[in-house]
Amino acid sequence: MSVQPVGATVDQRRADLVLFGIWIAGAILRAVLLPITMHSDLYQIYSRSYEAISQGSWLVWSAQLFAQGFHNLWLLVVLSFLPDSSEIWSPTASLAGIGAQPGDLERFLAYPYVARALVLLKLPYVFGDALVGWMLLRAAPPSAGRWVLALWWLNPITLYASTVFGRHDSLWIAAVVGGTLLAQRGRRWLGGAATTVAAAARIFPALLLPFFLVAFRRRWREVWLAVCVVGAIWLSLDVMVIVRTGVSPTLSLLSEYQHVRYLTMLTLTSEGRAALPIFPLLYLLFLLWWIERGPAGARGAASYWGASAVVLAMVIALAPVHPQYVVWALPFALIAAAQQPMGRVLAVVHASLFCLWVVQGGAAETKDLFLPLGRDFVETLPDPRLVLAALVPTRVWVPAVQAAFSALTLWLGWRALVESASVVSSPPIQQAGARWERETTAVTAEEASHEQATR
Amino acid sequence: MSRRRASVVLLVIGWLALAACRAPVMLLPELPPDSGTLWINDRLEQVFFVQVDGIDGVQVRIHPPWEFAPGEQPSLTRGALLRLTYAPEFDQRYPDPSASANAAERWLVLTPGQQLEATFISFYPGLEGIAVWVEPGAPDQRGRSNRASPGDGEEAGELRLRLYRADDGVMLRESRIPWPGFGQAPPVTFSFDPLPDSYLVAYRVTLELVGMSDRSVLVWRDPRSEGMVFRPTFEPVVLAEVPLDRGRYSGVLGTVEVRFPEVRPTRYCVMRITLEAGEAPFLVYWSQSRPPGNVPLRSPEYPDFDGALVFNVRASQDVPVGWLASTLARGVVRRLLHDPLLLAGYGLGFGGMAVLIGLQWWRSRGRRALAP
Repeated sequence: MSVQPVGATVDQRRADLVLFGIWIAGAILRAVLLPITMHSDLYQIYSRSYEAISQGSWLVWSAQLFAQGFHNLWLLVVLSFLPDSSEIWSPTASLAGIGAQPGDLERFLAYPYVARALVLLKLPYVFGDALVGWMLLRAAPPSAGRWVLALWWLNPITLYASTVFGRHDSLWIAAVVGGTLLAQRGRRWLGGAATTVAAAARIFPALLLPFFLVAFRRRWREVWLAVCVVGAIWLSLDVMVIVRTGVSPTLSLLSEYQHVRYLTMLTLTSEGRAALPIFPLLYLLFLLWWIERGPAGARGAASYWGASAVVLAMVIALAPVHPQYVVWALPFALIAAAQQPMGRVLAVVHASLFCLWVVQGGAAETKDLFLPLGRDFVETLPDPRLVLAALVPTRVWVPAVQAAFSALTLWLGWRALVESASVVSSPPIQQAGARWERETTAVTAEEASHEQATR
Repeated sequence: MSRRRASVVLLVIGWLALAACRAPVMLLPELPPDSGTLWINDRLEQVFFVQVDGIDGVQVRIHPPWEFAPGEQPSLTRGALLRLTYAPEFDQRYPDPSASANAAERWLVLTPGQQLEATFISFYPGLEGIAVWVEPGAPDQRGRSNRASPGDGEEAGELRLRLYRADDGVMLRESRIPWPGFGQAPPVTFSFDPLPDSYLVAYRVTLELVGMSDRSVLVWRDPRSEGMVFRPTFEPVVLAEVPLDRGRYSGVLGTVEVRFPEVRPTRYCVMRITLEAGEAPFLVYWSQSRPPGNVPLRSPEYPDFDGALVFNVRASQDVPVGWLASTLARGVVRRLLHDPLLLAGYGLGFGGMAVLIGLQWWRSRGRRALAP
């Protein structure tokens, strides 16, 4: 919540009420959707958790060790509220290539307390949504607070990822945003740890780590030192695993991990030459540009905020990600968008386009998510992709919507970068509203001269 | 009329309109990628499975002719015809005789006084018979058929099939076939007067051997259900027949689309499109990707063809918005009311929020009072 000065005016009271209205509207939407929607991914991850708890095999799902560990602990907490639930979990969820079978899911959906189970299992994600909303509210200028909160908390993209689909990304988004705010307040190591934890759970924050290191440095020597230490630890671990198993985890990660493959799927091809992956190319180019020419010498929270918005927008726009990951494009882009009327319009259009964009995934990513309401309900709902195909040829609307959605995603990211540059360069008096910049790590003259020398 | 009355009337009309809402849907989100063209000189059939009711159009990807003989009327397909029918013979939900032919335990032995029975759902209207895979004789020691030879002077009898409605057990039809039916290769079809309302009705069927005391009959055994191998047969009906030349050509998709009055029922049915050449052959596209049902196209000109016709089907799906909305609302309410703990949790959550709002409101009032 924003802290009000003494002597608040009627307008401010109204603003408070509007904020509350936004919180309540989002809470009601979530309360309605939580017990009636889910994707089988939610069931899979908690089935693996149940296996870990019941068999003591805590490292059973090594591909997402950290995220899985969190779910194991949460299930341990809520299991006592789910009576007679030992038979509802899939025994094959942790078998790669097999996973939970349709019969297992039917058993789960037939559980008398399935609504309670869905609410409890998705509760951390809603908490993640709320935490991110609260942090964005604190980071945004007071004048943009309502819009920031509305664009996050009521955004169909956020609702879809955490509440409807039941994906845990908002937890790690909270870690990344929280890490940024901590670093902004001078707790760089804690902020770095939060971002690293998020990177261990999801690949997207890993792409922000180089930016974090550079933005919150005191000296360049620190950056090189961190790179060398992390590189040495990583290499040692890799060699250890190679010696023991003959397989390099780094190469396995790069060649087999699905989310890494997404990042290299969009390529430029030329006859007789290897395909050039677009995202890694642009990512590296942007990193180099930002270090060389980024706002405030690529230093401080505002500069990092803008760069993060661009990187995450590039991931969503240039990699064929699933719709539940689109939520990553929002947190760093929304504060800038909320400050200008045009930005708000673009953010609203972006959210509306998402509702259209998600349709291309077909029934599995749209109407099938209402399976807890019964198979009759789902089968009576028309598949929105097939309805759209009857109105406009798919080969016409899908590329058009894809292009528009990607362009808007990138534009929102770019706006955040531009806004961060303007915040950094504007005189202090104009920065009064931008709390997120006000608390940016101050660069002392000594540090600046030292950095100049290091460069 | 007062404004309130007008709004009530509008609401009722809107509700009724939504309750009877229909949405256009396609069978496939887009046409499958084509792999080449095929000349149709005679006839081509494509079978597919449908999950919606109300088919009202078909798109076929064609290669339109660009040159016409002097005096020839330009047309898209030179008089070709499209026909839509049911294809229950391809329905994989009924026992498959070929699976039985390869099974280790191939037969069920039916003796006089014994009864074999099975239940099934008729996925088509016009049920008019049951084909049963049955042979005379008894299995020998090695499990193979020991067929009785004709002219043994055995007593005559008959096979009797009775059809009941599964719900209430009412007998609807009976059909008898004199037995032994020597020279008659399986299947033996028991025919009866068609049942026009048989769509999505569950039936029970019984098979008996009557009038013979010392003979038995071998009935093919379905390895999947372990019951007899049988398939219901249905009255052949042409659901739509349209000249392709009457369709609209889409330059975007390269298809000719014909529309016809809605065909019902089609939900959960295996359907067939038949294309018949007119006065001259015409070119259609084929694809290695098959439609739902996974059946390749069939044509006397291209036997054992593996690909499928490039086509799509359009339908008008009923969307009972009122039912959907009430199911959703009831779903939420029922879940909450049936779970006091969940209800208490929700109450606690929203109660806490209300308290927070009140507190904030009270604080802001206090501040205002302090303001100069």
